[in-house]
Amino acid sequence: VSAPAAPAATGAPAPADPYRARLDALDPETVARVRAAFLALLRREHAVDADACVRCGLCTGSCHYAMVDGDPRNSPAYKVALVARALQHEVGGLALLRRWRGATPIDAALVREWVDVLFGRCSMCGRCTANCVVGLDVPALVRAARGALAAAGLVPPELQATVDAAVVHGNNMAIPQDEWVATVEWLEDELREEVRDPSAKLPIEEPDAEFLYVINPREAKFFPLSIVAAAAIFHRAGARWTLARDYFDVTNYGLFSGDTAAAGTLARRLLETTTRLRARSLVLGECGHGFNANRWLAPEWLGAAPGFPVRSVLEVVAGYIRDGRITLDPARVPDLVTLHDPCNLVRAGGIVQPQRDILAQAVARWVEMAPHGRQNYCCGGGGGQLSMTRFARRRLEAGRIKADQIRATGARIVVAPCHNCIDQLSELNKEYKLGVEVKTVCEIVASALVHPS
Amino acid sequence: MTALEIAALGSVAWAVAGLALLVAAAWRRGTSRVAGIDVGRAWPGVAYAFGPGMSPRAKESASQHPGLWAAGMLYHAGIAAAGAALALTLAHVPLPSRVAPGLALLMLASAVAGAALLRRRAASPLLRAISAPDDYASNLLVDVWLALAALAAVLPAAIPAFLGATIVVALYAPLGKIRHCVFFLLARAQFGARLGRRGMVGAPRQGVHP
Repeated sequence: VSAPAAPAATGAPAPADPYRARLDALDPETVARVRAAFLALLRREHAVDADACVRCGLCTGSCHYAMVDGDPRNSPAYKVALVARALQHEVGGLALLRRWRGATPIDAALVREWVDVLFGRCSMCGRCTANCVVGLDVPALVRAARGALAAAGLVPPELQATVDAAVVHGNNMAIPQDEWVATVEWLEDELREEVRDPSAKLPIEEPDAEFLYVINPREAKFFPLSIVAAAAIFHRAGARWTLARDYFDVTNYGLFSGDTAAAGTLARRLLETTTRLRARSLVLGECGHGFNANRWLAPEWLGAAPGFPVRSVLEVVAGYIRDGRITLDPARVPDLVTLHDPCNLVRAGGIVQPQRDILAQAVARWVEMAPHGRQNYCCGGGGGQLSMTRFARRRLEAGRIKADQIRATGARIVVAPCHNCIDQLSELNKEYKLGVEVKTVCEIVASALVHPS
Repeated sequence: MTALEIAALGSVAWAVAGLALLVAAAWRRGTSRVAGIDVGRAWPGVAYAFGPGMSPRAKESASQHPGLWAAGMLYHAGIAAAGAALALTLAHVPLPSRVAPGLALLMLASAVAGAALLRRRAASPLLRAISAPDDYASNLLVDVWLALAALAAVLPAAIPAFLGATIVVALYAPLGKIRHCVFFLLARAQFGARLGRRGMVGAPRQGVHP
């Protein structure tokens, strides 16, 4: 594995990396577990895509990793080949014919290459899929292989720790319940100031609400005012909504680790909490992968559709504007704004227009990036890359494409309806000296919100 | 019907049966898709995938490489024409004399396009890294088949060679990369259906909930 960067030559002994040591000494039982899990995870869609790839390599120019580094391993075609060749080997046939077709057995060497390439060189953004001549679902193939690695405990430990925190503590930042409740109580005061209404509430555990609102725990920990921003919008719209005491985390890193059991557990908790509180719908805060996971993939993991709508907060806010439930003054946001399209929300999730309808009403001037919408470039933070610090250098280098896009707009504010994207964009802001502010859509709307005098 | 024609028909039957078995094997894996969550319908997405979604403007892979896109389209148009020529040959229906030279030219140009794609594969470090002998052999076999189809369209004496090449290509089809002739269609349909179901093509997304 070439992924983990060598420590700087300081003279000090290199810190031990048990994960790397484990990869270097993979035992046959672990490899067998990867193989068995891989075969169990593969569905019709994977098998069809594996045999449809013509290895034309034209996807290469669409991948931000490949655009900044010509290493063939960065090409989506290479990533697909790594998975498809393994499948072709496992489905049988004459040994000679398998070799002729390039089929590769799942052995220790392939497992190590899967880790390096499929975890370390892919943010599962799906831009290759949008531009593939066939339309192969590359993120799905990558997720299947990652899932096989997860079954053998070979997910990079930083990403696995994020999944484990969510499973064990109920949210990926391991925020204790009493701390969360205290944060909400404290934020209620902030909300009352923000909306200039002493009766304003930040409801928690309210039964029979219109919707349960779930957030990225990063907000509670580091950016609590983004919760206030959303609450101010809901308050002005006169919505009956609620937060939950226990399961309030919209994120689902099981999507990225490939661990469908963990992913299903996290998704089920949100659905069960919605049901427990008798909320009429589940509204997902600004989180790209949280939307894709909870809106589209959770029913696949759980084997059933939820009995209520699952929506993005962007759809809700756009609806408030359309229905005249909130009033915005775009003059309050005079700086030039540009919009980042999170891959899991837009390209995979189908939420393309609501955020544009919102910005059209909330800011004085805004400009699209080129390209945008379904053809947007990934910021580089998806696919669990923000967690996997061992691959951080690659992530920041691949983010150059997004940084160049932002710089070309001349915007002072980048709006990103995804907290993970905001983390990566903030790092790109420093790395590439962009000099921009990065905000959520709700923060921008709250800035433009007109309150009664 | 000559022995060669019977062998050609038999090899085509083998190809069809083999491809059907491969598709059945893929289908046996089941799908993880769940009903009742869609905001749009699959069919408009599928129509998009095989219609406007095939145009160079719809994807960078084509718009950034117009020459390759044109070569690929020409290659596959020629293959379709050669398939039609094969059907007519086996049915003992002679090609109309006004059509034959044009068809031959198309198939010859298609063979040249295929050869150009083969050369690209051999020249590109990335493509070499992801290619197996099958990738080269499949391309080469089809190129030869196309050239012989072109020749047979204007020179009846070349028909036995065309049928011989048909036997080789058809026998090989389910065993190697040529199988993508079926799997491309299925994968493309999957892609379009996903777009349609998620409301990205053919249905208003906003405010639509299951």
